[in-house]
Amino acid sequence: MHTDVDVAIIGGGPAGSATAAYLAKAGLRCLLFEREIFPRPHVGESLVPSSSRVFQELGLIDQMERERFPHKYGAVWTAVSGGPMYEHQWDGLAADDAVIRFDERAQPGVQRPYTYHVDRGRFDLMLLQHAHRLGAQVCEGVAVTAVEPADDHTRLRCRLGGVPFAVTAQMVVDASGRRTLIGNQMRWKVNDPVFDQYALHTWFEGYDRHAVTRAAGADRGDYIFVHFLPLTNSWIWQIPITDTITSIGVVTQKAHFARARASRTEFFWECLATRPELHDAARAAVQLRPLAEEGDYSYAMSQICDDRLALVGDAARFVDPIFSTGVSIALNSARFVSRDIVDAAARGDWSRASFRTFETTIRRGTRNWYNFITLYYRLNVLFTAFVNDPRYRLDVLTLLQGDVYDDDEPAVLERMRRIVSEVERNEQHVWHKALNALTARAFQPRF
Amino acid sequence: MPPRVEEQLLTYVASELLAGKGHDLTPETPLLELGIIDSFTVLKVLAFAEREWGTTIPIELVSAQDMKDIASIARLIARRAAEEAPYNPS
Repeated sequence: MHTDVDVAIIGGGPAGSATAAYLAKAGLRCLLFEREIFPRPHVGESLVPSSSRVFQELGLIDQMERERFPHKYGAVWTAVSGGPMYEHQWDGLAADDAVIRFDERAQPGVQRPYTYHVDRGRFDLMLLQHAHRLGAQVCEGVAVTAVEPADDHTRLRCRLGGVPFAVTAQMVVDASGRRTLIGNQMRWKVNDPVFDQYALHTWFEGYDRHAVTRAAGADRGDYIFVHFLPLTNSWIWQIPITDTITSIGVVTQKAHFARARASRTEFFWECLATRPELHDAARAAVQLRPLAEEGDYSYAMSQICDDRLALVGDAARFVDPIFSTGVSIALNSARFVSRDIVDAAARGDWSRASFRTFETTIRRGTRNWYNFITLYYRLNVLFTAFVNDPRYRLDVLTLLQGDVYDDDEPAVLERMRRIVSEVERNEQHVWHKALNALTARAFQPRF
Repeated sequence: MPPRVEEQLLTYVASELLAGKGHDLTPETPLLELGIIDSFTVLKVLAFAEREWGTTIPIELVSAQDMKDIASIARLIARRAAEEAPYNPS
């Protein structure tokens, strides 16, 4: 059937915009609907270097530099000295922080030794405008309400200012983010019972991240910092947005928040207070935005493709963001799905089988992330010991750089898993008491 | 175990883990109990053993007892060195 466009895309975040950009570049007629009017705030502000392949392919590197997004050269994990998870007295001997620099490992196909921290308002608008410039049609302020796949087309039900209309396409790409439009409609969504995490976050003007990071050894104010809290599975992110603005977020278990019986504001500051140096730096700064919260943390889909349908980015899966994976998975899913779509268009075959390469690749990547994250939480502060061990360091760095799509089971994950299960089994093990609360069940994810 | 290993371990722990302040350190000083060896520094000790004597000790084989004091660490190294077959987890 003749359709209005070749591909309709739901959502103008990084997954949707990058998909539209790749497809428009390849000459397909695509139409993207975004519910909001950009720019708008969004969480998920730190990238990993594998994103650079997408920027290079779409011709965006120069613009990323012009926007002056802070360069991200690496990551630091800091732990509080002492605290309830340790068996022994620390006697003032501080835990070693773990510092990773991306330039310790040359990454194939990535030209620069850094990635970026981004203000998602500006970054997402830039990507959307780029898709438009490359030839995609973009409509903001339009809500998509339902998707109706048929034998020879797919229909999209939309609303513009409350007035309904419909559009037909050969296929639909769902990039609706954590709204998971098609996943909900098709009942493909499965919530993750293990990672019941919860986040509160905001921006601060004048948070002295250089003082905080100097206290952690050297001035690395342009790195992402993950500060462990002395609460199970809890940590703080510290992400530079501009020279003076810093994004601070508390990630914890929903149960901790529920138990605290405190307001969101009280809870946020109580968590910060467990790391006095961060608390003082934040108190001395100006909070720019009200606290925003993210719940319903992790989920997966029983399927992410069907005839004439594909799900990308957060609409396909959400894993705990400890390693800044969100935008990276979004951009890489756009990269992989667009190859399959261009191929499907050339053959005129829009069946699910046409998207198998995308489905396999992105599932492999997100599964590796998921396993890595599970082991990370299980290892808790021991993760920094792992990173600092020269035998594993480069393999861990490969994952942290976002190169997770090639191996079915990276050897370093197998190695970490073996260590964790041995330490778990052996109560006499020198690490036993330091393991965190996530259960072994987490090692058999259903997805 | 030749006393040489204990001596080198003493020197290592005193200089690397105690920043040169371990003058009264003995092979029986309770390192774990005093927090001189902890979850993190245990890896440094294993890396040192591998560097000095070529003895690989996977962390999953190390119990708290093995890290109790320098005499115990020296026994652990000797035990690993004596094992002809390399560690091969099933």
